[in-house]
Amino acid sequence: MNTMTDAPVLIVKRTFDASPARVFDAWLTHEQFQSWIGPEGVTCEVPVFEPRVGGRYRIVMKMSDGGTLPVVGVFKTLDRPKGFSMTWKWESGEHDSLVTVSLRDLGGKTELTLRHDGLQTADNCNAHERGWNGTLNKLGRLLAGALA
Amino acid sequence: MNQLDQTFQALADPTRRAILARLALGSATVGELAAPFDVSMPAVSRHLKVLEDAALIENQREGKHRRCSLKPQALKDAYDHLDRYARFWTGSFDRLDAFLKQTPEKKP
Repeated sequence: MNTMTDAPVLIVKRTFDASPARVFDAWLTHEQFQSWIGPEGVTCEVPVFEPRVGGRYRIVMKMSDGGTLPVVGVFKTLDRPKGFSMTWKWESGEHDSLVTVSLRDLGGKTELTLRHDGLQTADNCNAHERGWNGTLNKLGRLLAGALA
Repeated sequence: MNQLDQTFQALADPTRRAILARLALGSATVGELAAPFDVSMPAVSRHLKVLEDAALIENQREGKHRRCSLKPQALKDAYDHLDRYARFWTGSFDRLDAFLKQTPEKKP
């Protein structure tokens, strides 16, 4: 595994209308995880799912062009219902990244913070790059937030 | 080291990020860039060299001074790289939200 350097870091937050235990179980239960993981329009199968420390998972994304993009990783920490962490690597890529999910109880709701560290290198996802109308005003956000 | 790695390595320093944030507002001379930082001119020059090597900035001679400006492409590439992951996770969260709403919590 490569060392996790201080940049870049991706942080995504979302509040869900459910308890932390319920959100935790949606991640760490095989059938539940498989039913929602992956962006809209990308079907994912999860042929390997071992939710314990040291256990592996494998997610196979089926792209709209017919190709598949498998992700593999290992669960590093599990602390129900506070959160968990897992490594994340494109099966054909070289580098591990680390996904850390923290769940905060907001009294019936849950604030989820996903931190994705070590996104250091290009990967075969480039082949599936979608169009992007980026603008420089996002630079401020990148510098102030994602890389802080 | 590929271009993206070089970009991220250049971005992995707070002084260099501050220099880029300043240049996002418009071009500046080396002296203007150095002014807010408590570092020597040679140290600033080294940071600028790293940013130039990563194709994040370019500079032109302007009389006795050098004027630096941002080159957006490498930053856009770095942003796109992160954005692919961001889309994966935000898209997944939309579906997780729908999943949680479809399967209401059992009240004890």
